[in-house]
Amino acid sequence: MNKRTYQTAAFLLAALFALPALAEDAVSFALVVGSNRPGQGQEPLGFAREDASRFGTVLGELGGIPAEHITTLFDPGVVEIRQALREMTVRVARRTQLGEKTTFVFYYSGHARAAALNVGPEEFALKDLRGLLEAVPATFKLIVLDACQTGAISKVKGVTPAADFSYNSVSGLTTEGMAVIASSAASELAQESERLRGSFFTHHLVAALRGAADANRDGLVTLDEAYDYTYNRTLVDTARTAVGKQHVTLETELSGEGETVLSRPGGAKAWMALPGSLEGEVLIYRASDQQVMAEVHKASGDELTLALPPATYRAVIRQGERGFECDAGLLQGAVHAVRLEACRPVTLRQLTAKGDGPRRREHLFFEVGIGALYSRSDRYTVRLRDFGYHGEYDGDPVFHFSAAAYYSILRYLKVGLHFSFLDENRFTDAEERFDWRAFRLGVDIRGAWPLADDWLTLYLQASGGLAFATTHYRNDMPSTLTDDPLPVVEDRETFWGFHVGGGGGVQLTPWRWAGFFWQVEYLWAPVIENLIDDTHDSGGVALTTGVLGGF
Amino acid sequence: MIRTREMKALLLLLVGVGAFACADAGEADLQNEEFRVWCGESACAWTVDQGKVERVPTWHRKVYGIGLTDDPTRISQVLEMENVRCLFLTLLADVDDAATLYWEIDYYNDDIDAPEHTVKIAVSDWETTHREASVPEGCTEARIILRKTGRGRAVVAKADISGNVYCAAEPPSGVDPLLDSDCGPDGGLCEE
Repeated sequence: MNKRTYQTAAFLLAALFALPALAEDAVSFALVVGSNRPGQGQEPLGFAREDASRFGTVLGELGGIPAEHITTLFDPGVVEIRQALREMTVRVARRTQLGEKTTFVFYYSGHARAAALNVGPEEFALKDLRGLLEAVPATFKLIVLDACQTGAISKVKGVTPAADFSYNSVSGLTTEGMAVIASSAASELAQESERLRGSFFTHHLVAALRGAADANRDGLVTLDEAYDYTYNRTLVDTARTAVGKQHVTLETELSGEGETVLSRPGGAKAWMALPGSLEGEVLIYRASDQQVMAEVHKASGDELTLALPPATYRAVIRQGERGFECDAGLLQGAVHAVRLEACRPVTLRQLTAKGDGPRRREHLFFEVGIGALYSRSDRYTVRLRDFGYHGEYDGDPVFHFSAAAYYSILRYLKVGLHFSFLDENRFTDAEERFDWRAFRLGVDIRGAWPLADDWLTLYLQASGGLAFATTHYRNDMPSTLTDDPLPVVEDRETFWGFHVGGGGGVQLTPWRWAGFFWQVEYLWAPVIENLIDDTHDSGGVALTTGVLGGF
Repeated sequence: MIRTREMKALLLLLVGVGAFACADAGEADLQNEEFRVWCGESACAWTVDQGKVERVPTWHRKVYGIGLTDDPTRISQVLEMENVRCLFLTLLADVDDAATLYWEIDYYNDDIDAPEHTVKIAVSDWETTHREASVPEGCTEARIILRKTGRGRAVVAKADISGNVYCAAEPPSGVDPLLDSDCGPDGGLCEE
């Protein structure tokens, strides 16, 4: 057995025989709230809901709180939060009356100002929140507040704090048996990170609970350990941003409880171990959905073990100008040790991309394509033939082009504005010519399934919106019937209507911001009408290929 | 190298095909058969013999048909023929229920009031109908007549005539060569 193996075994044994933690010998409950919705004068947050989801997950995995004891609210109103708190009070009270120790965790990520949480357009006064939290008869209460307003690139939480939220909230909420961790100190702005896909604070707090904060390697993360780690990592990360430093605050008023254990990574289902010899910045993300699990600074010396759900992960390690990429398949009940010698070296350019996290979802991207459109014969075109005209494009594909802009509202869901060619045909008869062109402008709803690290994406989409067409009739009157030449008859018309359609395609994005797509779509636009109640169904099957780019 | 006997056979085949092709031809074309050329309020190539006509938009606001409005209304055009024993009419029209449309032929163009051939054509909703009429031997001129009776309106968008040297229809016996067998189940062609 080498040194690393001994360290890992010691970690697991320590976790196995550790003194019972508060979370272990108590019945625990949690209310987790994430709200992206802005209040008046605020911008929507990007990741508050995801932060709440991640925090709730780690409470369930490592915090000893059964899933049925965790209530998670996304974008709730004040009434819903109040109701959930009252329900928690009742549930905790029932267990307390049975003489059991109880723990209650309240987590909030969202907007806030000095005196209130901003729950969308509503305000939840801290005074009221305090009253409801005090009414929860738990032995120990942990309040985690990641409250913020938003900014531009690093989204700022608290653009114009009338007073410091954290200071006010902590001083207003701390009571006996209660600990409050808040994401920022006086006059500071809490921030979100596009790279981490979450707030700096919650990201590092979750990583801490997964074991990054387990300084004494006993398999338990205490309140102090979690705070120390989160404080340092949040401070270091935010010091690099344009917004500035963010100091995490902790206020406790606990009596006679000793160490307060928040999580037990030693009792997890799987672990990833970073060896003591490894030094550098390590980013770990889940391969299947690119979810960043932890970004830690690994110092040379002790081994660092992180508790993660069994899955396949990728670790990107930066060592100065060098970089490495390692795949790690974590199995149930096993420790996967990252060995640098088994990792792939990556170039500085690759490192920059990898170090910036997984391939990010482009919020806005554009597609421009060309292709072929196969239109149909219908009652309208049959009628033209009855009147003696001959279709020039009968059965032949016509040139098709399209341009679209899409916005990712969710990882798998995009909405887009689409303009494309819809139809073209020409019917002639001796001196006469009648031709038309049709176009569409509408909205697409696209469901996308990224594969192979987002290099390949399959998608299905539905379309609908406006359609319009222009027709042109021209008759070069024959001169044989009259002595004097007759004037040429010419007429143009415009038709408006609707279109619907649906289809699917494939995106290939070998570059970070650009790629190609191939798409097949069926469109239907009953737009062009004649005077004898026939309507032409523009559209048909469109095959399109093109380029896409996003930012 | 092609031998003389084979060459003769090939020539005979070509001559035969050419003769068949020639025999199928007959010259008989109406002018302005689709009514799309108008000289003011009159269709340039058609004569209004009775009643009143008007220019009526058909499928497009600039593509006109000829509306036969009065009761009765009659328009005609003299057709010169060569080597024709049969006339085929292709008619595209929309006829009201309260109107009746007839296709008449005055062979030799000698008396427009006594056409030798008359068929009733019942069409609506811009249907295309086809009719056939036998031409007396030696006839080189005929007046093609479209006549409407009744209060309703008939709009004709196309009246195309073509000729052939053969004919399945019975030859005209002098006056009104209508046959019972022409009265099909659709009522498209009936005795006057």
